[in-house]
Amino acid sequence: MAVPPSYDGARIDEGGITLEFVRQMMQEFREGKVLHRRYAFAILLQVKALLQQLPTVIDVPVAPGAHLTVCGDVHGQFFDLCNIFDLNGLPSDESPYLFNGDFVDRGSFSVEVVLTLLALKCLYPAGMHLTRGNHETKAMNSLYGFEGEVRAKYNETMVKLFAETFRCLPLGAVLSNAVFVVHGGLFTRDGALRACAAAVRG
Amino acid sequence: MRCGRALLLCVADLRFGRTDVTLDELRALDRFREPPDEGPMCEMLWSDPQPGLGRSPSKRGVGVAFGADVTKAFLQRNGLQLLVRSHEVKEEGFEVMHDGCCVTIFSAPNYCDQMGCAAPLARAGGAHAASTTQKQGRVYPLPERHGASLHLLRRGAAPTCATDALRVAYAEHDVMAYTKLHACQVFQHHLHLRPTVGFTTRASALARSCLLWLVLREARNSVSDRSRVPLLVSLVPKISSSCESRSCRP
Repeated sequence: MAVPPSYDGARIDEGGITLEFVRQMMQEFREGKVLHRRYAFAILLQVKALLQQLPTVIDVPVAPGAHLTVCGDVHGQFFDLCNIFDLNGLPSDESPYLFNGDFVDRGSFSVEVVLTLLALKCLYPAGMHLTRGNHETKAMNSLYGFEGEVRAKYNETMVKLFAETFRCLPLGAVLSNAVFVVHGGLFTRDGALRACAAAVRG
Repeated sequence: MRCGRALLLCVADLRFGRTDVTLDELRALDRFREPPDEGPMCEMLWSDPQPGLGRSPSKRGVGVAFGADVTKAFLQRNGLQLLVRSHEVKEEGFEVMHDGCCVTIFSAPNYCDQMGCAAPLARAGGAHAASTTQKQGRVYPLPERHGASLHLLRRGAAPTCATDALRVAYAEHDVMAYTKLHACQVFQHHLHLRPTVGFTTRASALARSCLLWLVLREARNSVSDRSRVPLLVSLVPKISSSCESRSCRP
């Protein structure tokens, strides 16, 4: 995937994803520039390998006196995400974040939001936690805008790679053995009632 | 005979102690897939808390609505103290339910291009730097036992068009003026439809809001191909007026 000489945006070199790269990428997103497909591809490949290693429910310890910031749906509102980071600081190992799903769809800047979050995950694997929302799925992405946005900004391969990456996201997190974080919620009792109903119908 | 069989099954279920999903079961889920239409993986992504006790069918048609008793039983069974979830728009950006055991956090104040909501963050952990966070917004402490607090940012950033090209496209054709209000109204409408609303009304509301968003999306992605924008813009009042004439409020 050759980068044309005319491309003057952020680049990932041999050093991998660095803080300078993330900052430059975010600044260019604010200006409406698109990250070259080659680097978007690199972020996705790296983060996918990282996410695949994680358990389905991640355990995140929070040391006494330390804190962790949990954010809810961002839904493609890149400028809201910037606002959060402006006020609360960028994620780092000292100032960890958990984004609780629904990064994409509905907002106009879903690609910008999700690439920023995923690049930060590569940069700080222990300082940036991501859980899957109902919009990190193919069914939702094709209806609510993310697929179209990726096709407009990149191509069909990237649509597939995003879907594959989303499939690797953990589904929930437990903070310090005390706080259960999940995008939607809890469960249908799957025992007595349904068995009764089936038996009565039978 | 049928009743007898049913009763036996109930007893068997109780004897095997299968009452609810546990954390260990969730840890063992095979998550590397698209979520199915039912079961724990689906419910983790789709369920919502409800004010009443027990469980009800979800207003979304996927997942389940769960009450305070369900939350407390799940937390207790798994040795946990607090449930934090997202998934629903909240005017203040957050809501504490189920006697302080369930917190909803929504961090997109400009969702649907509406302005002025707060963008909350939940800070979990020990003593947080209250002095610095208060400067930036308001802090809502949760019950002491959780060791967490809600840190409420003052408000989101103003909705911004990323590029001058977008701004020009929006200004020329007034896409946003047409669509913003109507899309928001219709969309919010369908999100807030009461559970008692019939399936047909729900389906048509959903269809219209999807249609509006498709148009919005197409307009957004057509910036490089300006010739398509007027066509898309002409669609918006049609969809909007169809929404007004057939109000979907219950």
